[in-house]
Amino acid sequence: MIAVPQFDAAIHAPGRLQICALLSASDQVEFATLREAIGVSDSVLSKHLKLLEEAGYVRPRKATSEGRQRTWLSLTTEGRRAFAAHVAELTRLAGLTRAAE
Amino acid sequence: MSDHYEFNPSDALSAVHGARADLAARLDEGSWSYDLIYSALAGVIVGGQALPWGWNLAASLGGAAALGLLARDWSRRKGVWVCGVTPRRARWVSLGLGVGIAAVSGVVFLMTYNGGSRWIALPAALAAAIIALIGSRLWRRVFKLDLAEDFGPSSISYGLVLLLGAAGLAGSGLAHLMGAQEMLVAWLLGAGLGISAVAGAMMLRRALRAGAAH
Repeated sequence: MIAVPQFDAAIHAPGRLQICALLSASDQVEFATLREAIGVSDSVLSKHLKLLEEAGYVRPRKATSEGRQRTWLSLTTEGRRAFAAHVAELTRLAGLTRAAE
Repeated sequence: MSDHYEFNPSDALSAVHGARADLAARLDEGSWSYDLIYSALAGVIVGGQALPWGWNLAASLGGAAALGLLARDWSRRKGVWVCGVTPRRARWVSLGLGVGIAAVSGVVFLMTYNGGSRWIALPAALAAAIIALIGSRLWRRVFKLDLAEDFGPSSISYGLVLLLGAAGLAGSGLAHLMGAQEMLVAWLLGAGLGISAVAGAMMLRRALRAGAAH
């Protein structure tokens, strides 16, 4: 019997998956760097981040640098665990798909 | 922003790997100049320990401040901050680098304990710089492997790193202030003070956060 895929709804969307991929590989990433890496607008990134923040996966930090306020984002411990579990599930499912082909 | 799309687990995994590969490329750009400056500063700090009292303190504090500025400027320009001990496998390179630098510092301390053998400053600085350069280049290679293969949560907390760093700085600062005659006692006293201060600040922060959440 094949187990039903268990995906995290907060992480599942492509944009949020990429955000988590970047945040899980670092301690903090600046908002503008994330926006550039994901290739979305400020508002779309803000919506993704709001959803991840509400799920308790992302923590923002405001910092003033050269007279400008910048937002740095990091994954919480729960966020890191959820992302690891999500990638493990993706890997399992990708393996099953390959085996079926 | 739409969450509806044709889902394919292999494509999703490729997107994760692609995002991380882009991050690796971003952090690679200009990394040689960062590592060379970092290594030179490590050389100044270690070699400076062989200099007379006052100069050694200036080398330690000046070097540490310059390292802090270097890391801050790097993270601002890249828009990314990765602590040396966060990546699961690369952290062992950081720890090995720390042990190597500490070993050279120990030799300098032993050879200059009563004011002799000041000539050791130059070879010690050179050795520390070489260890730092090899260590930082190796760290980047291992970090790339972590980026490609490791998706698990990190088991070392950021708070612990801050704690140890503060303890080390406080300890060595006190050791210098006491003329390094009672190095071990000074270091233990400083480490205790540093750990207490940082742990107190962390507990206060946690309490304030918990208060704000309720």
